[in-house]
Amino acid sequence: MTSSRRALAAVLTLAFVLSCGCAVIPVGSPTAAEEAVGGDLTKPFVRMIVSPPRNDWTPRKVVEGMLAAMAAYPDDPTTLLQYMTQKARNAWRPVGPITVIDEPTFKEDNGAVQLTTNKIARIEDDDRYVSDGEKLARTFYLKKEAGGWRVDSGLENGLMMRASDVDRAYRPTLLYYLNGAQKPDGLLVADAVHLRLKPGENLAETIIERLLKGPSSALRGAVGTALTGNVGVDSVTATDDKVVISLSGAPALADTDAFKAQLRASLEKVTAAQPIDVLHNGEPYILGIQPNDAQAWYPSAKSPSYYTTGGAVHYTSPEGAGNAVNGQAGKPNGYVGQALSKDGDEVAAVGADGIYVAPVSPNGEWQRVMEGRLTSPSWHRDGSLWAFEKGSGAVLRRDPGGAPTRVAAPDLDGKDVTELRISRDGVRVAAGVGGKEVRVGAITGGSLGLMLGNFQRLLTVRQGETVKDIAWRDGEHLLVLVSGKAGQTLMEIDVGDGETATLTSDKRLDSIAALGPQIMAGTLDEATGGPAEILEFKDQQGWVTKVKETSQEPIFPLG
Amino acid sequence: MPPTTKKAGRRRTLRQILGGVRRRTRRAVGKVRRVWRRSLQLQVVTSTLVISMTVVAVLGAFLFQEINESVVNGRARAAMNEALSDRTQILAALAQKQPEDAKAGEAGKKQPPHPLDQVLNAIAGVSENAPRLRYDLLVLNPHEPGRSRAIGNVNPADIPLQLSEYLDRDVKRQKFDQPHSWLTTIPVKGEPRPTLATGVVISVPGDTGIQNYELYHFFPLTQEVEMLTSVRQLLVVVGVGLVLLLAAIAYLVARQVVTPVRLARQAAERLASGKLDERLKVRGEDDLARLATSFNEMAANLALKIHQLEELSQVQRQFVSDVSHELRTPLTTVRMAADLLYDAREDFDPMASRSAELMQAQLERFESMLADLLEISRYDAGAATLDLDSTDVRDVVLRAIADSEALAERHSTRFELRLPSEPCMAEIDSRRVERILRNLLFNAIEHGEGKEIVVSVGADRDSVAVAVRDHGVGLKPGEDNMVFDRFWRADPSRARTIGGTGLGLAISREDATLHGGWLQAWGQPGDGSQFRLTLPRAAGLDLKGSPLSLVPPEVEMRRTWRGHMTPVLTPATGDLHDE
Repeated sequence: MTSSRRALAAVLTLAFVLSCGCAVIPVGSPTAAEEAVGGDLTKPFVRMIVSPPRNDWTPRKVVEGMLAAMAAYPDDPTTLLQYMTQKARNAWRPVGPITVIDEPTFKEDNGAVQLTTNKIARIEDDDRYVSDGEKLARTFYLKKEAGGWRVDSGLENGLMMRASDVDRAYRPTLLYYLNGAQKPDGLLVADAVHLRLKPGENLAETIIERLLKGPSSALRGAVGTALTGNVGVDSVTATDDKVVISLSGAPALADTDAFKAQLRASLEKVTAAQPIDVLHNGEPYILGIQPNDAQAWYPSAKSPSYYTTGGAVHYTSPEGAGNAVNGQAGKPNGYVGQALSKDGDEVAAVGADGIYVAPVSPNGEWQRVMEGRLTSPSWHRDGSLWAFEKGSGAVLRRDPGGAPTRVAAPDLDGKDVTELRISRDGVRVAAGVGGKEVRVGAITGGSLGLMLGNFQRLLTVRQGETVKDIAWRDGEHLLVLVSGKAGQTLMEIDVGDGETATLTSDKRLDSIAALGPQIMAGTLDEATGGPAEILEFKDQQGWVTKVKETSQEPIFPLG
Repeated sequence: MPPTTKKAGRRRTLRQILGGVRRRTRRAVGKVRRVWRRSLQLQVVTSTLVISMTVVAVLGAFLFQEINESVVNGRARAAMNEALSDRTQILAALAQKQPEDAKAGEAGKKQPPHPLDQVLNAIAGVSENAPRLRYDLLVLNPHEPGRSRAIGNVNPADIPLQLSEYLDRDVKRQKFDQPHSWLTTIPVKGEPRPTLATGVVISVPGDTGIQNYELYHFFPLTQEVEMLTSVRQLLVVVGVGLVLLLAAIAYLVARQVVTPVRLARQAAERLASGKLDERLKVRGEDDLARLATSFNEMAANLALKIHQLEELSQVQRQFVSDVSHELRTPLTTVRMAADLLYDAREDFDPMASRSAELMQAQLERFESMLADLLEISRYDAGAATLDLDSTDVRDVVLRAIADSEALAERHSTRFELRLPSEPCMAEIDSRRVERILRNLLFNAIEHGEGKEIVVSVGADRDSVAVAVRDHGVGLKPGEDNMVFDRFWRADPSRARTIGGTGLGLAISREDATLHGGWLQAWGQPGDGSQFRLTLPRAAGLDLKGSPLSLVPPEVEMRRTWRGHMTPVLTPATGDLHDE
């Protein structure tokens, strides 16, 4: 090989190496995947954009446009006013609850537009969504001005929004607070609110801001929160493996574990499985909140079930009927309305002259603890026993080993209360009033100045119907058994937004008990009118027999 | 008046500071300029730096613009496609059915959302487990109430005016399938975010006529901006690195070339200073090696030539010396004969008598010339020796003046003596120094045009000096050195009046040099001239300066008055003794 040939070979080799190295995209190696930001937490949402009324719009279109402008009012408070005459502008105030209406129909008549629809609900100032079913008819009077038709009168204060606008702009959210009990017994209590999505803010930011503002009026004074103080939410950012919440201000953290649980539970819908880090003014505050950090704070939905037969309390077994409980409570007696305490170690029941309690132990004897004409007793998870004394029209409460005391309940005083049920988390109270109405309130005031307050009407039955029994399914859902001419209907009501679902109708049903997914019912024999079997509601489909033998009513501890 | 004094003092201080700063700056600039002019390497490196910086800047700007354009164009194409696909989806949904007159449904039953909401929910991925939408969107239909929507934090105010004008034009022309795009910024959390906005019209036929929806997309260019920012940073870093690398390469290459040149220069300098054995090392066969070879050949030839010339010069000097010696013997005879004739001139006729006088005079001159020639040849042969003795120089000066009195009187010239009161003792050969002074005085008398001659004596710790100042015609520029050449004459047409041989100053200089002293001349046409002899006090001492200035003090003062600052105080050594 001559030297010139060698040089040529070297140049060619170099050129080849260089051309390989200079390829635009070198193939044959893995690439770093682009980081996907977000998940549900930072997902965008559709928002109404409104424009001022046009010259050529008919009065009906102006009213429609005004409804749209009302839907966008929290984002854009100026456009709505352009739909009004100066007079209406001066008179109208955006105060009071937001009225949620169904899709309206319009009737236009010479500058007057009549709107007819159903009220679906209202959204209170504290974000509570309260169902409503009334008809609504309103007539708006319009006036022709230089820029076209404007609404002149017929407006009521406050905003009115179509349900579709509310669906678009609001997200039903459960905020979780604490039931106020000490650590081993501390539980999360859900507070249902409708939160408006804000442009430039993601849902998680809105949720945390609202969480830090405290509970709605339904739970005010009844629940606590672990983080107080003047706290602001700077931002919530999410990557695939972490959610970072930045707080500012001066937070006062009472209980880290409780706050972790509150945060985790409240954000459950928007953050799937990522750990959450909380920063305060850029410094680590609480790090690594795991998805299961809230798990221990939910009320347990596992417990044996019981039933009574001839007043005696029995366990259920996989086959159906089971053994009687120990002591006198397991012996047939004349008591009714049996209730089991949290751990199933005490039974309370209504006797002829008051409420009796018997421990579930081999030599447990019945002992009268309350005197008077009382509703069926209800156990609180702290061990106290609650009932309504019909004679004096007052709520009684008895601590273990103590004497019954009166608890103030201004909303129930003097009412014909037929049922009083404390929820399993020990925060809410459901009361059947006069067989016609179900109200839900909360135990407020803590250990000092305990009272039942914040009552809201949850259900009013129709003419000819009676509320037969109520039972708590979990902290947010109440089962109501309504008996009518056609038979009994079992309804499930969400105490947060009042949403009612009819589970089933069955003529035989007489009493109900529920715990989480399990629902059991006591029945009456159609022929004799006496107690028959115990049924279980399986798979949300229908009733199957649980206990064949003649029995009165099913029981779960608490609720 | 203390304040004034203070003020004046401060002003002076300020001026002094300013002057100092200016001086220092000028000095620094001068130094830099000198370094720049002297260093070829610096020049090469600087030029490379400047040129490569320009090239890199131009290339970088061009490259960045190209990348920028292709990135933004690529994004714009993708954005247009997404906009078109969304448009198709929305158009299909809106054209499906007319919800305008949908009656309110059964009480309590929820109405399905409006198709616009449905399709936008699908696009935004609100319900499904869809990936997050990477852009914001606006659907506007200002002609119908409640038919405008937004996804993301955008408002109609964010739409660039030009884009909505494009869409208006499209509506007028009934041309709906062409999306338009515009680069803009929209405020996000108070900061402007670069955004690519696209707009297209959706025309939906309906019962009440055609409805036009304007669909705007806002694509954030955050990632592109980040990418381009990092590309720009990279370009800057690479550019700076490249320039520095080029400078380093230029430095190395220049060094490769300059080092041999520098070695050659040093060798040439040494050669010039007389070290004729100096040679360069020859490495390799490149141009620099050939330069070294040529240099070495040149040096060898030069050494040979110099050697030959030295030999020739030696032969000439020997010849002169021999001739002088040889002439002496016949001259003695001629002299004796001439003395006889001269003594007997009274008896001759006037013609012969005048001839005898002339012969006597010229013979005397011939004798002294011969003596000078012999003296010079002694110097050339290196045979001159000093008879040193500690002597007061003032006495020597007085003796020389006494010898010159007669000639001075003939020229009606006065001497002014400026002698120090202290004795000026120095180890000198007084015979030679007296001869030097005599020479200087004769010269001064001859060229002094009868004006006063000033003789000054000065002394300091190391040296003594005698200056002889005349006020005659002076010297022209350059002549202050030539006066010491053998047989040099200021004006060849001028007759010698005192019969100088033309070797006097040359011998004087040799005498001064023999003492390790200096003999220097200053002169200016019209101002006369001054000769200064400086001698070390002890034999063998090196002279560092002279107690007397070469330029007469009155001339110096006149210059200062005129504002010309000249280095009065620096010893005037440079001109003659620097080499």
